[in-house]
Amino acid sequence: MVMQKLYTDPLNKATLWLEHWTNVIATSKYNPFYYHGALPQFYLWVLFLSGLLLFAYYIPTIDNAYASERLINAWTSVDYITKTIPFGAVFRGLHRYAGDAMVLTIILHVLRVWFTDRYRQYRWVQWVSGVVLLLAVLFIGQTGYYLVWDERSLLLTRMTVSAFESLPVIGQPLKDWFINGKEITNLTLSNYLFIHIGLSFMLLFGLWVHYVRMARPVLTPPPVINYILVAITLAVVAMFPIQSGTMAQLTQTPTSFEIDWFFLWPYWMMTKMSMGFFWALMIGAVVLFTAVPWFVRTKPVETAEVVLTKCTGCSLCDKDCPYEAIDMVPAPAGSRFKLLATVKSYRCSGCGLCVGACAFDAIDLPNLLDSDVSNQIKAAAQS
Amino acid sequence: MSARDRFLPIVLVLIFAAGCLGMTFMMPWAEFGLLTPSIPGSDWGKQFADTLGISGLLQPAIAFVNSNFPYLKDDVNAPYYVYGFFMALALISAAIGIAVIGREDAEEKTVLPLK
Repeated sequence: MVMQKLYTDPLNKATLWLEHWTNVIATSKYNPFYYHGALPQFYLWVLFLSGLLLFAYYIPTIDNAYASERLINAWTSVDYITKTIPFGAVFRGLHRYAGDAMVLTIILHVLRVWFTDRYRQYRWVQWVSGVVLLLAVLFIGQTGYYLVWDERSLLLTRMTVSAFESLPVIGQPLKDWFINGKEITNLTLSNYLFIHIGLSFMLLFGLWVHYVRMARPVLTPPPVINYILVAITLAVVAMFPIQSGTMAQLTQTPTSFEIDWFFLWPYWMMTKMSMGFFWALMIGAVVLFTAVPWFVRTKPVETAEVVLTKCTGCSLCDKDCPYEAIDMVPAPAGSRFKLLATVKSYRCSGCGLCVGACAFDAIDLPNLLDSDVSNQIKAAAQS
Repeated sequence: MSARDRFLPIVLVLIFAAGCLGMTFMMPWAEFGLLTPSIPGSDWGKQFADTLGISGLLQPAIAFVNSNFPYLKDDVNAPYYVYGFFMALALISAAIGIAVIGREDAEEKTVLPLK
């Protein structure tokens, strides 16, 4: 507990200070820090819409035998989107930079929940599902770089194949799954496209798990913030236009590529260390990152308790609970009321909001004084 | 709120609304290629601008684009990128204008009932 306070207290104060001054300038209604979880999700919608247009024209093949006659493959279809389709280059840039922005806003989201100590105890499901979502976003982003099928795509594919092959037991099947066969063929890009789009839709399921314990998750920022997010992305698209490399040739071996630090940093790491050390570092980092909520030992949560003789089944506590920790169940036979509140202790944060909501003193935090409960409710309302 | 207190938000809203409309107006001219003279623009667009007598109004925007986007000189997509850039400016103007109008509603109104 002491170590936790040492680390997070200054960071929490710094975050709250930053939020306070953003409130002074932009007001709480338009403070992006209050929508930190919704920002990446907004970029997800931008990615879905821009990706839809790219998907309409993309051809997932590597066949370049007739490239001189401009017959289509993945690279020429991307080239066609970029140079011939009206606004194709803008949509391609929007898709690319919205991906970068999504990773950036996810990092801000992680830092915010960490600094304000909102990742432990009853919130562990959100943290763990968030780690899985982040890994999925990074992998989906990487597959986007393979799809262009320029020299960088070929080099990244070969580096990924080498990385998979270095794994014992599962390495070979994983490599075969990744390139959809024993060697790079047209089917390889079909698989990349399937992973890129299929896994993107799986993110929606992941988000459901991420939100399932929250009664009122903030899913979208207000229009003002959405406008500014799109505007920033469009400005970046104009300032840093996207360029493809030269078309990949299976007979050639590219040796260097331009790196996108948001998605391709694992490939930079591969060039700096042995594959064994790379995997040990990556797996170890993921395990440690996932286990962060259990590193800090704190007092167990004092959960709310329902006074059965007083509960009228009015559901006010259920409606106010931010963590979906209260269920309304049928009251026992002989009761004057139809419903009865029950507390799911594993979801309860002990915040006291239900105590404040109940007009009949039928729910209580038995180990806290009334004044402590009031202070907790005020703190929750202010936050 | 007194009339004096309302004056500043109204002026700000008008400024940002004008900015938003101005930038929105620039977007079709950017798409015609009129703001990126190195790229052959639409003759139809040029004739239309001449007929309307607004060619002169575009000169500051052309100068702005030439000085800020020199790397687009030989890019076939220059009109689209410049269109996107002006759309970004229009969105920012609109966002600030909306925020100014909505600022009043943003005040905290949380009241904790006494039990």
